[in-house]
Amino acid sequence: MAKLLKIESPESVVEKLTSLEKRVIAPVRDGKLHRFLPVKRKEEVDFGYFQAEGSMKGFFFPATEGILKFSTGTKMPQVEEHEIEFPETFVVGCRPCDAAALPIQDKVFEWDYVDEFYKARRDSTTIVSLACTCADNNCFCTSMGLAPDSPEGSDILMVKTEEGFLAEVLTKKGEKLASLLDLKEKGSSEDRRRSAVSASKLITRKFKSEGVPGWLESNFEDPLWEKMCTKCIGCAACTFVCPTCHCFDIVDEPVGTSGERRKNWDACTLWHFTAHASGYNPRDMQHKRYRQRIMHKFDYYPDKFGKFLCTGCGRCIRVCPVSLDLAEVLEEISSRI
Amino acid sequence: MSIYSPDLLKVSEVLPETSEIITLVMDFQDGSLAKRFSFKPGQFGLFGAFGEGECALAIASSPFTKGQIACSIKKIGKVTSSLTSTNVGDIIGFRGPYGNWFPLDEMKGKKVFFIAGGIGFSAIRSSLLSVLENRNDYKKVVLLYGARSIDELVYKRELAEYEKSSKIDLIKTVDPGGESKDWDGKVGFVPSVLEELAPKPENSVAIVCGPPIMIKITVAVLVQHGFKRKDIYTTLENRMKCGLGKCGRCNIGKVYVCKDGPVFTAAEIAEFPPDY
Repeated sequence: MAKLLKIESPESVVEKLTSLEKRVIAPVRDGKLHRFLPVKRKEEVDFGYFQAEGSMKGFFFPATEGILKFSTGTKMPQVEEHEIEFPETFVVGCRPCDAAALPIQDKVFEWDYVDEFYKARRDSTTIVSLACTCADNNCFCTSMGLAPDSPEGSDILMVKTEEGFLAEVLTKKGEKLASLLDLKEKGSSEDRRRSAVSASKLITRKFKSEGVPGWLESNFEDPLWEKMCTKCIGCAACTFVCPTCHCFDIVDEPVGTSGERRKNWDACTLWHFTAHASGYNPRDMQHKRYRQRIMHKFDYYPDKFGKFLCTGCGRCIRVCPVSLDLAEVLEEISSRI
Repeated sequence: MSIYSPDLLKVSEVLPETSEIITLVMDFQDGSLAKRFSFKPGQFGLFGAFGEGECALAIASSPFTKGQIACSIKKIGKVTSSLTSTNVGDIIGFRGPYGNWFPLDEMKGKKVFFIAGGIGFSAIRSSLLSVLENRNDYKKVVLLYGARSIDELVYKRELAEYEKSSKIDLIKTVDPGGESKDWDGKVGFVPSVLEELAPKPENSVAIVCGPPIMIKITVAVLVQHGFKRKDIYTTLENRMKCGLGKCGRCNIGKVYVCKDGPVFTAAEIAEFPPDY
């Protein structure tokens, strides 16, 4: 059972941590949208936000990162390892759907072979999430087994209640931070229960997801794919804003005789993803590439790791230039189960 | 050292195979790794040229050769173009061995049919050398090998040896139009020649590798002749970047070719969705 403590406000957490000169990442207003950025003062932060444009994915698994340095000027190439040390970091005020994406990605980067770059960042970061108090019609976290106040992936979950704010302390890292913040006063579990009830009413878009993997498995050739997904233009915007998508490319970027080997975001919706050098491409049509994205998220990944590769954050729906609505595809599938 | 850091290999031999294919024989630069390194036939590695990138290729040498590995490369894309222009003494990056292997121990006491097309031979050469090394453990050993033309046959030196050897039955073929006047092999696509050969399925296993279409048709011919799908092994050469089950590129259905493969039985492949 998580420990409930009273907390003044999310801003007070930023204030305390920045005064101790800790590295803090929090939502910052940038014109019409909000982005997660490193902040130095609490005045830079705006917690009155709905959802940040990009997820926090890039802080653990950057869009591009060097994994090796080399120079080829001599007969014997010089190969140099990249630093795998990262400063202690606190993410303050991310949404539960972004926090829940982290354990989902952990499974990928830490099964069998451990990606040290990812793990070092995860190990040095504490996640202080903020339960949602608003949602739009693209949010569907409850259909993914989560909720606007899910504790998954958070070290501390902050919840706004009628009385003020509660801190739900969930892990050892969370306990360490609670003592650093000097949180002593117990919170009321009745207060927390009431906040959970109002959170459960936030999400209006709901569908049955239990049967989705089974349907996907037996309907690979269904006309639905061509009908609903042909309009995908393969821009990969959905993948890049997704907090759980994790496919990447490894490329050498030389400049003259030196350079770096880099790990870059990639996407199964891009045509080159599975193209062989011979010219053969097993996923030669756009709807097949979009189908792969759905299959991976709602059948293959769950088969391997036991959860959906999706937290229902809705970003892919908001960002799609052709209004290809992932939840609509799932709703259609759900209606056939 | 991260999981993406390569070990260094020094090229000791460059063997031309065809106008587009070479075999590189390479020594591990790190003495203790040279002693320690071992792999199983069927496993692959990521071979890289610094500044060009990496490429997933089968380890083509015998697992009994220590401190040294070989791979055969066809010049097709950017990385393979760079690797095929390598000279003796050059340094290559290597990560591996990755993936699973052919269960050669389980095949002991059986007839083994090796069926390869073009550069696909490189992915089963390690198994063939291993079986020949322990020849007495197996019943009959057959190699049916074909390519588009005579030039495109790899390992010609070994094919010449196999012609004379009593340890192995070699049937070589080239696609119609790929033959010359003095060609002493067969003319026809691998699956058609296999059809003629009419292999008996009793106490037999088959190891197949070639272009995707050749694998599909060859498996169909073997099944028609009574081979059980579980006794037909193949190795898939998907596009792969990490080899570690993370980058997502080689995912087909519920498997990652780099982790669950690259070796699969035809029974396993029959369960895949048709997008490989």
